[in-house]
Amino acid sequence: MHNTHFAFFDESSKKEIRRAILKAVAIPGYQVPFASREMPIARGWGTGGLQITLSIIGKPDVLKVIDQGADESVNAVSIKKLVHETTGVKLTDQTKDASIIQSRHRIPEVPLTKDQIIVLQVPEPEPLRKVEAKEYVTKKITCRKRI
Amino acid sequence: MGYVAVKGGTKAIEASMKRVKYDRIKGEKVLDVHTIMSTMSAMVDQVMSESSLYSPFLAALSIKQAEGNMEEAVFLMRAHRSTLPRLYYSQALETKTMLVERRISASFKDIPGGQLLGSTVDYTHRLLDFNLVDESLEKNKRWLKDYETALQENVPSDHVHYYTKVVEYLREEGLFEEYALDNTDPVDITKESLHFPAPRSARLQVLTRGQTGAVTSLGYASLRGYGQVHPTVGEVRVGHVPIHVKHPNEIEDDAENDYYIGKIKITEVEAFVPVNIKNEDHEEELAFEIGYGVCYGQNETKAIAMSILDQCLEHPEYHFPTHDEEFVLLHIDSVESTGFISHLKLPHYVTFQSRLDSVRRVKKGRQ
Repeated sequence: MHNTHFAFFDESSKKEIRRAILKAVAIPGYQVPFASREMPIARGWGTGGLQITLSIIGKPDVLKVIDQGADESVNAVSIKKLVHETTGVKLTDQTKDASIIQSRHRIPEVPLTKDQIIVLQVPEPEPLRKVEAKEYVTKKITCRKRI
Repeated sequence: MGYVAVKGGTKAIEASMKRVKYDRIKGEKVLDVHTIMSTMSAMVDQVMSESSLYSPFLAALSIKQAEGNMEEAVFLMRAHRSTLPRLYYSQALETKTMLVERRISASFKDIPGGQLLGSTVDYTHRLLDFNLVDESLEKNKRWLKDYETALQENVPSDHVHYYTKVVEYLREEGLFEEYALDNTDPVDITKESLHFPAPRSARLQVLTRGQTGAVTSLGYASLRGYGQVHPTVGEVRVGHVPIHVKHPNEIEDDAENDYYIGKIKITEVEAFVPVNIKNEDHEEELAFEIGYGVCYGQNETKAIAMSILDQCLEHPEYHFPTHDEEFVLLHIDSVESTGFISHLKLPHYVTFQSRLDSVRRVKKGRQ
């Protein structure tokens, strides 16, 4: 294992991210921004999802990672390796054995149970970004549409 | 062509990492971290500034590990920063208390204390010095001894000498407005996500940790024609400033009770920018505003460029990209920009396949 804190982040960072997750669950349809931390993996390589995974993971968890639709793609392997090295948790390819599934491009075919958490990654959370470059504007439009 | 996932990547990745190590050590030379610290201070400063982590030792280590690749060194430092608990915020720095090593003004010739050039390459001729190919430690020692002997002729004064800010000149002439101190807590963009319109404290934080090249380019673009800010450098000062933290349980606001936790070297720039203001009789009058630049270590180009961009973002009414805070602030971070550009190297087989599918479908429809 690496010589870092459990799950890489310090505890107060993890707590801050978990607070944002709780808020997101409590307010359906609202995207809760949180201050993205720099990860040992480059931005745009699944680090948003990785931060969620690291902030919720505990020692008994079993992790499955999918990227570009596959468990064995180079990036999925790299993400799994980092989580494993900083937590020591078990890894799996089997959906039913996993307690946390981080995924890009694919929702697992096997129906999930309420004990399982799926962390879905997207490259750009704002669906309007391709239409409007300004954050200030898209935030206003998104609010209007949702009310 | 159907979709094929890249499998067996694990072994290839491990082999690639071995190759990285091989390439770094195959020349059979070992660069000591302390050698980097003492001979590459400009690079160490730049890494500390762009990674917002002040530690010359860790910066030197990151430079060694990254084999001198700036973006990689900054990346290592930022990732390390994410693992550190942040326990305190320091008290606001008062740069009047800087132990000045260099202080110049391009606006006034005679400033109290004079123009103090300190250490600068500004006036050197950029000719490769081939003597450095075979530099001798012995010769350097002799040179140092002579230098120190010559310095002994200067009698040190008994009291610490602080340099007055050059802007005081403008204040005395009534050309620079007196502003009340703004003591609202600054936004920390590493703790809460940046939102727009951004307060000035957030803007300054993004600018000071921006990639040197990116900040310089945008500052230059503004100056050359894509912006409305034409500054004169009022003051550039480089030196160490003391950092204090408040006792966490102390209620009284007494600076005497603060703890000194160390000093950092910074570059600070105050650029004077002429602006038109309306006076009491609603007549147009010329006054000055300050564009502010500051960064870890000695990096004057970055600090000056930052002071231009700070002033640009204070005046968003001009329709230039350099005056648009989202354009400037969202694109100058080294880790963000290099990370996102480099993610294009990741397999996008599924994404590309789906794009290909739609192109094929459109083509079929046409036939």
